[in-house]
Amino acid sequence: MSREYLKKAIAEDDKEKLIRYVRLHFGDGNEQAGTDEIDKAWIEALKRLIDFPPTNRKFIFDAIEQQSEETLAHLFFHLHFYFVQKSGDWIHDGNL
Amino acid sequence: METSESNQPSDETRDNSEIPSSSEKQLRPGLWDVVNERYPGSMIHNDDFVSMATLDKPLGECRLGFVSTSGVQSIGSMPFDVVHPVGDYTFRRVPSDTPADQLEIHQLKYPTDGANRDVNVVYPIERLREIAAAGVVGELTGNLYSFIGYNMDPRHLERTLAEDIADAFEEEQADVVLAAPA
Amino acid sequence: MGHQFGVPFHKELQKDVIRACLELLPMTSGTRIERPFPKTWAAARREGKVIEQMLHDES
Repeated sequence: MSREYLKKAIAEDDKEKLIRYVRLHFGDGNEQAGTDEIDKAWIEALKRLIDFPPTNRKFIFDAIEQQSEETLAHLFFHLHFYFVQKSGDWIHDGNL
Repeated sequence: METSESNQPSDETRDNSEIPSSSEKQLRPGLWDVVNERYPGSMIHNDDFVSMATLDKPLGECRLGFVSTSGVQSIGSMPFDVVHPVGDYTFRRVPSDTPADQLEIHQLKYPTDGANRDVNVVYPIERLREIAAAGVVGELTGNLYSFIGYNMDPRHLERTLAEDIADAFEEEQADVVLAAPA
Repeated sequence: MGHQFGVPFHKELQKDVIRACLELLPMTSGTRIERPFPKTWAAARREGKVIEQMLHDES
């Protein structure tokens, strides 16, 4: 979907179009694959927290406080692909 | 990067019927329909063509440039932003004398198995050097160019990235530029 | 996709593709030229496999 198409969807609060786009992006043009990729990323994130490992919450709060929402949104997309790659089940052809 | 300035439908009004799909123009009939279904409004459709310039000197005296959508870049340069939802509109300069093993690919949207083994299948930097050395062209530009083809704003691509790369080739004093998709 | 200049390690094919593009330049009087490349993908792949096998045997 083009950016103009997405902007129109945002203006109209057309959530179906927007989430479909995200799925297509994550699934390299395959909506179902994208849905599976989203699930995969969250499952990988969950796995890493299940045994109460120490995490750097200060880093998290600092990032949220100090970085722009745009940077955090960009990071959100990065983290998706990062955890998909960490899953070992990489459906994409290329490299991040 | 062939685009039209006039009579261009807005992105949101484009649909499959506006994408050229005649079999005489399309080597894989239906391909654009599939792409447009997956990424509505992302295809560039040109009603007008810019005529290709005529060579004013022998090819063997020309300085040849190369640009590709392959996402090939020098190791150590900032990776292309392959996660961004609307694309990366930057380009990378690749010095034309860069050893092939000093290149890497950052792109998710095409099969890279072959290119990971031999980058020349998408970015024929070694073959271009050999062709220049053989005198088919006079020389290569000092830098070759690369960007990623995942851009969800064709108009922005046309007016920024395409213009930036054209300016760069002007500075390189390229006589001829070979542009390749990936 | 991902193999615009042929198959891995097939240097002559890769150069042939570039040469084929460059040979069109002196003909560019119009806006669009399409010319089929005089080799099929099946042939290119076959040749590529032979070349890769030779490289493998040499190494």
